[in-house]
Amino acid sequence: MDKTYHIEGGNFSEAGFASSDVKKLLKKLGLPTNIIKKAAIAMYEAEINVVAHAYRGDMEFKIIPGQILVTVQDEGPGIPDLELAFTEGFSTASSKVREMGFGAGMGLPNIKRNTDDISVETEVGKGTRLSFVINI
Amino acid sequence: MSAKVGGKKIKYFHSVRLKEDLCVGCTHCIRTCPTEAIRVIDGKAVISDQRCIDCGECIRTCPNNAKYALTNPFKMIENFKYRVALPAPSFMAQFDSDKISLDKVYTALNLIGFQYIFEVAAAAELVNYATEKYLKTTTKKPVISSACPAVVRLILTRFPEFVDNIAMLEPPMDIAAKISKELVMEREGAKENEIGVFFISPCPAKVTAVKQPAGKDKSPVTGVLSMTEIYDKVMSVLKDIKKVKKFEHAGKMGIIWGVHEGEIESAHVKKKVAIAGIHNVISFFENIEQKVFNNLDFIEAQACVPGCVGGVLAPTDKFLAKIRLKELAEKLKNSELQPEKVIKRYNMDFFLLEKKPEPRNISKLDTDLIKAMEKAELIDQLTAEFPGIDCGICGCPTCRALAEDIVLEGRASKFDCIFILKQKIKNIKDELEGNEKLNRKKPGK
Repeated sequence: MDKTYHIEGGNFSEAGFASSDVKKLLKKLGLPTNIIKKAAIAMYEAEINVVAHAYRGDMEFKIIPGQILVTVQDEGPGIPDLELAFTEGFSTASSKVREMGFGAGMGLPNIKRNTDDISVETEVGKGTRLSFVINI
Repeated sequence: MSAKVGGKKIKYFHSVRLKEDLCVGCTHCIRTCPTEAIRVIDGKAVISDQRCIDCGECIRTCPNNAKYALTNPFKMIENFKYRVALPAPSFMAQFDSDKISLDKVYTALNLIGFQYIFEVAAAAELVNYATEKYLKTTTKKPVISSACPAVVRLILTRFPEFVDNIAMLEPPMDIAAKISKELVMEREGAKENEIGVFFISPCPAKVTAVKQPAGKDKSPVTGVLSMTEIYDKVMSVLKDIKKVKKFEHAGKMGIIWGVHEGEIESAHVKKKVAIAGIHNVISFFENIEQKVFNNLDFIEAQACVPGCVGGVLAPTDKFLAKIRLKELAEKLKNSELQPEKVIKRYNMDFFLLEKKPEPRNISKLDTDLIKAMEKAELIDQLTAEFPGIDCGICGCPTCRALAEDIVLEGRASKFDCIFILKQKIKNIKDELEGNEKLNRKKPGK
């Protein structure tokens, strides 16, 4: 089954809606707690990435036997240096975003740590497509 | 709906009950129930034994007083030679201390039949020490206080992922029962079965916690009495008091447990948070981000606003009681019971729960993932068919709950929804009218 969530850039107060909604569903499906926690963390970070960096985006969540699949497609500035973006502590977040307690440079590294497969396609000036898989 | 723990179906005891003859099937209660445990079936509320956590929200809401909390009858104390009253901290706030001193209230408790009075606030002071130690040694952070039995049951039913975070500590009520029994045995040379220890409770969940404890097999408390009932008895005998006796009292740190933020006040950890109100507790647990949650050290969570003084069995207005309790805490300040010395008599085992409370796993749609997904899809589809206004006329708290009942229980039907039914009737009417028109046209061909 699948679900789609729209995310608006700059809407920090709504960030986390998709991950807590999915968390509720995964609990009902009876998945183990550690899987639910991993999915919630990865989805939350992905939501924050769109809110903090992009203009808007859509998050697609899909669960099939054995796997949770998430794809986030955004319209935004894209990522000029992917390797740097995957480095812990590296961030391009604006000072305004940092003042709000975000932009610690843990987003993508944290997603990577909580997922079993991750891929990023990005085009500078256009946007980013992030996909990740969690095995269940 | 069935919860299986260790392979066998558990029958849950509940203090919260329905007086069927008073219930008019109005649906007020189904909306406020935090675990969606109530349905109105054939015009009467029905409480799910598996889902109810005895928080008492429905008692608060029912306009017809059809919900009540079953407590032990006062006469039960007569079965014991030695009778101990365990007044909850919130009990201390039920009386206006300018007119009726705490010592006068306790003298009244003596008069109505209790030879001993042991303040639960005194036990709370000891639990403060135990909590300090527990917070230092546990690896499972954050620690969620185990003091509120409704919150503990909420976690067991709706948030099984936080079960490991519940403090493995005995609540003050239980510690008070254990110590007071010891004291009476020591002082009177009494046998344990001659002593009855009775908690004076603001809360129905405490009745359940004694009858069917979480984290141990048997509660050390003998019975739980309604605070409202005891309040009335105390008020009735005040005029008969000739001489007010002097009692020793707990201090601020124990008394303050009766109100919101009271318990965390004495926890010396950096990141602590207190939540009051069962719906607030749910929204906190549902929406808190995992990372933020993991960074917390200690969570005080209470089902009632503003803490236990807001319990449904407490007769005095809760905000007035809150102020009174705070004033009393400031006035008494230092404990007369020397908790710093008493604590040395007990090792940490004395304060620990015997076993981990067992989650109830009622939120799972199916044990098989594929079947669970099919059911979730069906529930989503059905929910989309309903109007989404959660009117409650079908007897379920929300349109989604009706969809869940249809898919999971097979009890309800989608025609329980008045809107779907109306549409169906309209379709039939249109069909009949259409037939009639055709019939009318026939003769004139």
